[in-house]
Amino acid sequence: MTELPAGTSKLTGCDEILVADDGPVRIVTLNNPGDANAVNNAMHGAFARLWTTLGEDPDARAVLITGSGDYFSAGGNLVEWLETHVNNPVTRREGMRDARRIVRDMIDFPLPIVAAVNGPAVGFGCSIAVLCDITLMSDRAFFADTHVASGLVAGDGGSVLWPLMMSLMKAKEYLLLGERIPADKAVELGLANRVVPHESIKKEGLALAHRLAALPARAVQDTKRTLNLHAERAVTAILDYGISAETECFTTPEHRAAIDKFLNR
Amino acid sequence: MMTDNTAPLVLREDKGAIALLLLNRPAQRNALRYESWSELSALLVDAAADADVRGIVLAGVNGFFSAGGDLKTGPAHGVGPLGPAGRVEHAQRVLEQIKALPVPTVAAVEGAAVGLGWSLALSCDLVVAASDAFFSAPFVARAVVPDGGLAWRLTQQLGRHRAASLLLRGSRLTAADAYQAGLVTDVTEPGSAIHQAVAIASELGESDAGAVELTKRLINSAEAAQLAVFHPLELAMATVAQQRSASAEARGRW
Repeated sequence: MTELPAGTSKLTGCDEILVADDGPVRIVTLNNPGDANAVNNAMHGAFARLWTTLGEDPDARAVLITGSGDYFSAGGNLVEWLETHVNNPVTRREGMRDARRIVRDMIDFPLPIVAAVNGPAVGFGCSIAVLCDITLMSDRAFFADTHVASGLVAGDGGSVLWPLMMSLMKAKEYLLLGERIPADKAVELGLANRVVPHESIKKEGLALAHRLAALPARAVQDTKRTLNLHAERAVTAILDYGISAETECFTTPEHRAAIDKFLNR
Repeated sequence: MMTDNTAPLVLREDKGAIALLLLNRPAQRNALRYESWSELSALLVDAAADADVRGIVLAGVNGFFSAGGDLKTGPAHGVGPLGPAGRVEHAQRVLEQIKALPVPTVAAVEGAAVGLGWSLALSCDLVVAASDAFFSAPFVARAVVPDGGLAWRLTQQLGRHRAASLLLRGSRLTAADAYQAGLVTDVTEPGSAIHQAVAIASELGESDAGAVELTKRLINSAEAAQLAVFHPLELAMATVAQQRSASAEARGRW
């Protein structure tokens, strides 16, 4: 696969989220390859702050998000999760504050965001891929929102936006059962724009970001904003309830059992 | 342009567990530049991350809250297509940041809170005002439109006609009238607004932090849907108004 410029942690202060400049395009790479680009707490915080910083870059016109290697992002780090979300009520509130901020900031972000989903996108990875404006998927990639199987309400993930992209009934099927959605199925459902051969996913993602960057900026940015008022309405009506309901589940025996099962496998 | 580039535009002084943030452009009656919002935003991030901070008080130095958006530098920022109202958008984001703070926030208004300065005061959970302070929104007189959500907030709070009177005529609202209208929560002796605001914030800071954060979330959610639609519209209007006055100015020069 063609690899893109990896970038640096200068903007994020986090080695596991890198940003590279490619003309008017900013390439954001989730870079925790030892753990399938799963987000740990430092990455989650840095990702939450990223959009404010990128939004202040006067020369940027479009953003591309991808993962290093052959994963997009496999979700969260459960060892840290246990410590900060399950056992500690103060850091639990901080984590949920960041979760809320990520959804809101990506929807409010002025520039177009392209996702090059270069491999499995589960949990966090799945959530952020559909917050982007145009999503390309490798033919080896799949989505899965696994909240329910882990004993959690799917509060900050697909519940907010999937019903705008597919039928309510399909959304329920995939969110309740947590089944994998392969790339071609994701396109059919409306969760992604098109399937790209794995070898060229990053290259095509970058080309698409450059195409958006070359269009009249004001028209692109305010069209995105106009369309995202649909998403905004869903977010304001649904996200706070979803996140609160999800947070209630953190201390349940079912969630604890799911974590233990995963960590001991 | 002659400006003092060394003094911070916003100061932080801690009063026990309360971070007191002071707008600091005394010679310009604490008028808000683009950079004022950036500095305020950075201080808010620090204060929110500081586990010892249990509340925030916003005020201005020299017995004056704020004269509003700085007229000298104007609302444009940057040369891009979104430049004409760049400061409006920046301010919108910082005002949202204030509302999203997990700790209680109290504005302490001495002198006056004008225009965007009034929006800033109203973004706090509680507003304390000196009895001789006043509020006004003289946007139209300056050929621009109200920003920082003020048109929405005043219409919501005062009803259409009283809001129209304030917004179109730019007339002043006294602290007593603002209190009657629910736009001020506590009126104090002149000179003691900051002291009183810090006392209230300290009292709130002793409550359970989780209960405070979640209650604030509930209060915000009551208006979130309407504001989400209002903010982009306000920004579009501000941009149009700005381009109109810029072109009028150009015609004048011609």
